[in-house]
Amino acid sequence: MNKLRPWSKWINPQDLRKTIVEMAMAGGSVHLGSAFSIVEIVATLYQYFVRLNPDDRDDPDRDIIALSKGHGVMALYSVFRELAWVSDAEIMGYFSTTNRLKGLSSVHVPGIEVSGGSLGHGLAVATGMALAARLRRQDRRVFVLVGDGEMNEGSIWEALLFAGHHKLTNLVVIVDANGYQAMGETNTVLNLESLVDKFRAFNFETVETDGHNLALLKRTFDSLIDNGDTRPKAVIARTIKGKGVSFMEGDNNWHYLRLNSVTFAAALKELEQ
Amino acid sequence: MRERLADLLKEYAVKDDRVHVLSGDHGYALFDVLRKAVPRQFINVGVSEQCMVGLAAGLSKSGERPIVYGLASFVPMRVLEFIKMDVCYEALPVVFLGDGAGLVYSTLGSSHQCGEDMAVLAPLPNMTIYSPADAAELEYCFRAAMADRTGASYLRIGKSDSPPVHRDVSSLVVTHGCVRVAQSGTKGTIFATGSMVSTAVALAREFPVTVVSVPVPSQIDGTAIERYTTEAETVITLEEHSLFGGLGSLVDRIWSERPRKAVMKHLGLQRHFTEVASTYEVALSEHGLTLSQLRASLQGIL
Repeated sequence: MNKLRPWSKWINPQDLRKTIVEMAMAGGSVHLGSAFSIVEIVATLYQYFVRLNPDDRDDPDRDIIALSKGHGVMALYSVFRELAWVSDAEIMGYFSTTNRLKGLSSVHVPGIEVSGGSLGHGLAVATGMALAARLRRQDRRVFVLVGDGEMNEGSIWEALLFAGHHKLTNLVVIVDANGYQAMGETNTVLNLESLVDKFRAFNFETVETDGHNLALLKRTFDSLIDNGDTRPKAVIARTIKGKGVSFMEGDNNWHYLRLNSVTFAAALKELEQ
Repeated sequence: MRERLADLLKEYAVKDDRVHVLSGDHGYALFDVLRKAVPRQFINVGVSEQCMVGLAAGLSKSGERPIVYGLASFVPMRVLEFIKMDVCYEALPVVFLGDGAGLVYSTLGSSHQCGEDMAVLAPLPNMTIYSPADAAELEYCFRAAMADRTGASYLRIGKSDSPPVHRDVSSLVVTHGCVRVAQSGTKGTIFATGSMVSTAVALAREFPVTVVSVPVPSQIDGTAIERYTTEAETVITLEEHSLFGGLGSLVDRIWSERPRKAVMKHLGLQRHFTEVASTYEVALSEHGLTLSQLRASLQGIL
């Protein structure tokens, strides 16, 4: 049994989005849409499911949340701000000359478990961590967030094959299925559907859910974790790229657009309502 | 050399259950003794080299001690960026074994021949490159790699049945990546690595040269170069690796920044794919690396 517990404190997704908008404005950062689509997922995982030691980010018993789609990293920073793992000054000084928070997920930032800037890496590394936990008979959960665009990468399918074959039941792969990748609709660029059928064919216990509905997300993870099924788990989370700010939702330009004073004010105003 | 490697893998795995040998469906009999002794510590990942490197990184991050085996054409060539980001970026102590380096697979063709492995790894931070010449150097390199917890290691395993150049590992002292293996004069110094060391030793019977084996090319430095080249009129590098980015380039980078009188000459794989599918000797001859071709080269150089 793992002695650690999830953080349990209420994490308000709108607070996370406000942090994301603030830091994106401060640093002139892109990838807002990629961060917004996973906000409810990371909020749910950190609040209820990721057992951690708030005082020791490297506690060897901690559960892992691996952001393989490193472009959504501002969503993690926003949770780290709630956990007081990064300071307000670091958030407001994003990309300043001394800031350690990178524009893509990097293990050199404490609290980040895998480097996900290059796509198709984090899942294989996390699968290795899930394998290590099983070899040591350690009660340790490994959650991996992959993007649907990221699933173009062959290495993703190599890792899924391995996890399915070796029945790594402590591995939970969450697909942020926001339907877009850098230059277009995912199914126009390279059709991935049916994702559910593919994961099932790779021997994953697979559930599809609304990736912005907190109650459904909690129920989904509750139903999958420690449920006795020996297969690894997959959650196909249907999400909206840019979710939370009306003029960003479904507008893929916000993959690379930067905020200006007008769009910043408009975004904050919506999030404060 | 391969028997020694097989025994070493078994020795370390039996001693420590955190040692795991990962293979991308390659290696065959090399792992027989390991698999017999500790079958659960051998993981055939399947023909999935990218995943294999990621898995090794994840295992290492969790305190396990993975050894990743592949043919040099695939590990490191095919998975270079996974080695860079998953392993080197975190300075994880993963040990990579790149087998069949150089022209060993002479009959299989260019897909399985690899003269670029050292060149692609040389720029990576937190990576030590080993290139043993015989069983004794292999044992030295393997033990050094396993003892190094500060970063990743790559063992380049080339032609494995060349004549041994050392009596045994206990008398082998490597400093600054180098060890002198022959001296018949001081007119020239040959820095050789891997399979070419025994060839250089053979050449030292005919030419007045010092032969320095370089089992750890990434550690060679100005001290080593100075020590072995003070009297030399000509300094030669010799390797079964591309002339672009291998031992020659590593030596030259240091050499060119120092005061020098001697001339330098590089011998190694040319920048062309081998054309003929035949013996190892024929493959070497396409690059001017057979003993008789090198003899003619040295006559011209010295």
